[in-house]
Amino acid sequence: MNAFIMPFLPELILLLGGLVIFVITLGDSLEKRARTAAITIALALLAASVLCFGQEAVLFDGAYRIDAFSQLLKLIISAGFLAIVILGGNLPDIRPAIKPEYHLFLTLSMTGLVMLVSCVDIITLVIALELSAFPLYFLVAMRREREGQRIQMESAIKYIMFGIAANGVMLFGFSYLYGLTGTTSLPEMMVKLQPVMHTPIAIVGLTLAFCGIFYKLAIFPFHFWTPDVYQGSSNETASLIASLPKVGGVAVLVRLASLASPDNTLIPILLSALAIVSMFYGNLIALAQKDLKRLLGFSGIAHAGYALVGFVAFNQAGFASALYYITGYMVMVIACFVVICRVSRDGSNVAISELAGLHRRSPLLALTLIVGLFALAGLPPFVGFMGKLGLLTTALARGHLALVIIAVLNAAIAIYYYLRVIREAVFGDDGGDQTPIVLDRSTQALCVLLIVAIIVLGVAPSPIINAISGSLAGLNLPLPPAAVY
Amino acid sequence: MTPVTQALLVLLLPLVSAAVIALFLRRQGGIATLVSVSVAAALAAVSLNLILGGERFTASMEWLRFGNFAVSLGFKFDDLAAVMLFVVSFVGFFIHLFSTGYMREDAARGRYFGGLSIFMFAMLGIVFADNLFMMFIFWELVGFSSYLLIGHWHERQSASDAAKKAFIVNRVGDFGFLLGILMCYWVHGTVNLTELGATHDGGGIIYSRLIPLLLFCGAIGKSAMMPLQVWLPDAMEGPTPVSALIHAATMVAAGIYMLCRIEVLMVPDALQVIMWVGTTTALYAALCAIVQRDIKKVLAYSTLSQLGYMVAAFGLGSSSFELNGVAIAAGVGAAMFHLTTHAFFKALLFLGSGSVIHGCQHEQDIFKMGGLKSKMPLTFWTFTIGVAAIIGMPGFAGFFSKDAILLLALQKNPAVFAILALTAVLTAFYMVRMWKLVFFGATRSEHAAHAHESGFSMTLPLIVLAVLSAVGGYSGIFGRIAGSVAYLVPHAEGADHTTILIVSLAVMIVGAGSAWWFYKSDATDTLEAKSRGLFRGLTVLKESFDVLYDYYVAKVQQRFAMLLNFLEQIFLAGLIIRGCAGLVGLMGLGGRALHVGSLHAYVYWFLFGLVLLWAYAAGVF
Amino acid sequence: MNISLNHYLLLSALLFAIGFFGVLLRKNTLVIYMCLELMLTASTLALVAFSRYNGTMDGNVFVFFILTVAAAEVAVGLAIIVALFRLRQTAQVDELNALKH
Repeated sequence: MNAFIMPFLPELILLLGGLVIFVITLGDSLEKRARTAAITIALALLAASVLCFGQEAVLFDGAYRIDAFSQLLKLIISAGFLAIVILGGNLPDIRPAIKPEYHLFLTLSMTGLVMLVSCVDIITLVIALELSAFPLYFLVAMRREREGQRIQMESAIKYIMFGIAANGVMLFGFSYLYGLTGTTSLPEMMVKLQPVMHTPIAIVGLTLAFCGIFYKLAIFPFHFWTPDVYQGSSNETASLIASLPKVGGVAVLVRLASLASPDNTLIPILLSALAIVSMFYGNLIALAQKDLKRLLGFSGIAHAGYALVGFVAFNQAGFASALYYITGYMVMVIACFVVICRVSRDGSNVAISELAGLHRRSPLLALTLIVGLFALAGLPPFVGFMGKLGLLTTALARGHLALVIIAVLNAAIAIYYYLRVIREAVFGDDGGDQTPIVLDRSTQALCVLLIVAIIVLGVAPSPIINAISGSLAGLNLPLPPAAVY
Repeated sequence: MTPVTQALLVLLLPLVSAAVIALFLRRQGGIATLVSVSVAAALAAVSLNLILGGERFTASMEWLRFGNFAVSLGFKFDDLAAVMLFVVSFVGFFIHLFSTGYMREDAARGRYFGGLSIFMFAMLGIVFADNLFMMFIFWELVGFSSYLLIGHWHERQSASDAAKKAFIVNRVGDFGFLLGILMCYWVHGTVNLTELGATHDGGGIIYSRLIPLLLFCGAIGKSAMMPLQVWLPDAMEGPTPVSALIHAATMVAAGIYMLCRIEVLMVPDALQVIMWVGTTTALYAALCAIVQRDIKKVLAYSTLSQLGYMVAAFGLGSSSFELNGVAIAAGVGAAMFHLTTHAFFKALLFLGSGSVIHGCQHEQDIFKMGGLKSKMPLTFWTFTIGVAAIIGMPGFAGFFSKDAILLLALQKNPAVFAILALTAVLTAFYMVRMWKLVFFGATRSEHAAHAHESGFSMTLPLIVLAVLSAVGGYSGIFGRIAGSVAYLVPHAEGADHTTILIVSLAVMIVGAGSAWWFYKSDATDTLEAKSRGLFRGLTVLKESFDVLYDYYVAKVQQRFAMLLNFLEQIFLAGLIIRGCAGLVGLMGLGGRALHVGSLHAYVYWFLFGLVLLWAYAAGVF
Repeated sequence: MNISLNHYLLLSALLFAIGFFGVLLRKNTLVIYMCLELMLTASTLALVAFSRYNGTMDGNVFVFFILTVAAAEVAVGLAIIVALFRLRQTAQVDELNALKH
């Protein structure tokens, strides 16, 4: 294959795939074909990401950077993409006429995410962010309207309005940062920003820009869209929104944070405050939830708070543990959503009480749920425990004892509501309803893979942590430009 | 095979068994039983070889690394670990064997034996662990498998409630344990047990006390010390062999084992606390045991009481530094000695009660039994040996280990000695009460009338454990397994020897005699009939903690969650929006903010966050 | 009067403020949408001014991309608003409060 194309293979595959699905959507009722195409694309993307692992190049005058970091994240994202496509199944809760389009927008959103992790320039960053976000707005709105379920449009409107407002704020911040430094390239910008860090205009610019990223990660108080969007969107869409964009958000935050000077003492305090509030807020409100998706929404806020703990340490080990944690979170939350998608009757939301007797209706789903929730709760030997351990030790190594104690306390609170769900699934009274849930082959395979991933990532974390640390080491080194340009 | 390979084999065998059962044998209960029991037998054999081989070693490998912080997985196999390994693997095997008979008709045998195997794996992990992190991981896994097994009959609401209660109560203790581990790493820079032994820097007056006490929190949860003892009696909802294995012989003893492991971190003040917690629990549980009707609940409270003994022994042995290092070790020796003998006789008693329950078609009320002496002779005689051991009949295992503890108490703290002696009286009292009610007199129910002796798979473990309960206290047996730990057991000499002998004989005779004389083998509780006030007082004492915790969970915790929900609704939707709107209106930017909907609330919050962030960055506060 | 960079910045900050507070205070989704566009316009204005002031073209390039993004955004947003109106016969934000707590 052409050596010039090679580094960009994943992006090209997604673009091409998007085109193919677009052509498919032109025909009538071709949802099967669209799904097959989407799965093929996901598989091809995964293969390409593996193939392109270790490639290095820059594009567009240094605005787009293929390095170990981006390639690793592409691999993670493409694995998540495959899982999302499979768990979508035949999209029970999407309006029948537009099911092929669902796959189109899904693929486009993935294109945005895959590009996002390579962006080192605010222009490309904004483009990629928007590209990953716009299709999501549509996906939320595509849910079927029916009796007793008239919330999808509300949630789509809230999502898009809030999202665009957040992006507008971030853009405005970027424009100030550009004005101050005269460059759009992030590495250059950070160097030039150092001496003028304390001028009012820099402070306003940085504040506005960070608000946009915190919105993406759903950190308190920028999180208010999360539970509503989870609840209002179809189960498949919610599983996407809950998992992959967060990985992208953390990746961007790592790119930004790794450029800042590590001896800045203000940022750790600020991040700890945000992390603490997010953890408490998410965990405590989740205690009182009845809708499973909404519960996961609130718990997602808490988990974003945990991920921030890694940034508090503000060194490479901290970033590595944050990335490891969010990767684990992606797997765990997808495992929970697989269960939601399959338990749900014709795609409606799942109340916790509906899980009753799940272990009789489908032992595999019950096991997936139990493993996923125990992992989210941070119990060993699952990845959630290892991730938390990593975050806490890196924070501890930098002397943030109080933060660590609060994080452990929060983990203890969270156990309570996760266990409530498990109790319902295992011990709950199902009122005699024992209709077995039939799973197709791909779902079975997905469940097993997710369980294995949660356990393996938790039991043998060294390979992935080493890979992440290795990729972080080369984050700011100069790279050769792609030869074509 | 090198010893390390053997240890690895011992650790991994049950994991393999659990995985095989979970993946392939959930429906084939028969094969699952076979796999699990043969694995237990194999690992008992290998362990025995390892223990008697005399080789002691440490080995470790790095497992993961975050920056400068590395966690290793490793084995620390010394004499202490050898004792524990013997208890876990040997008693564990016989309980597996017993289960084959006891659970024969259970539909979910596969799940049960899978749970047993995963428990064995986790427990052996604790035994071998060479650092606190690794111990914590297996600690949690033990809690998880205990959760599975307590809730084995999950159709019963009480079983699922008990499982959840055990899990949550244990988390409270584990929270302290984890904090202790983190703080230990923070102060000493390592959590490796061997390296900790080499550190002499206590880390300042606060940390040196805080670390052992926080670590002790883990033991409070797992060994069910006051005030977290509430889960253990409820845990009797699980199958009886599980109660014998997990909630009498091994898991609950893990707390004591962990304490002995971290004995180097102990300071006198912390030991004082530990001693009193243990002593109080011993007395409290013994009092509660007197009014129980359920055969397993009596044994559960008795377990609590004996665990209190061990913890007290640990605290006592080191409560004075006058004798330098020797004093510390005395506590370890006495605690581990009692742990071992207790594992024998308590497992025996539980299995005996299991045999009784099995024979009586799952009747557990001792007032509905009676007269089983002739119907179940083998069970009767082995049970009698167990009772003799626990009440400290001279010559039986419990006599030696209890005397060692009483001796320590006599030397160190007369008050504790008095309480422990009183506890011993009570122990003899409630054990003989139960023994008499179950085996003597007339049969008092349909089920008991049709009782029959259990099969060979159930009586064989009884016999073996009875032999161990009888002879396990002699140095020929314990010394062989425990090696250097056995030398640490204090021996009375001279005047002390006489005192202890007289006291222990006296308490046994007083307790056992008064129970034998007081209780008639009858359908009603004699104590309730004769002294209503005392009976009620003891019952209230027993229930007080449960009531308190229920009240806490129902009233405080739930209300707190409700309050937050309420705040979310009222505060966000109403007050904040209107308040902010008013503020904005005051700023002259428009007064039409009264009719805002939810989306606006979100954007207001965004604005709030933005302003806060800016204010912080600009250095306003 | 000589128009300096500060004047542009002031204007762009004003635009941004009008946009943001419009989002906060208006209740018709279409009007809110226009206000969102105002926020984007504010950043383009700032970028152009800065680009001129800094003497690099990056800002101008960025503006073109923002315009494209904004156009796409309008398409997405209007589509959803139209769909909302079709289903619920309303475009008022304050009637959208079924999802809460």
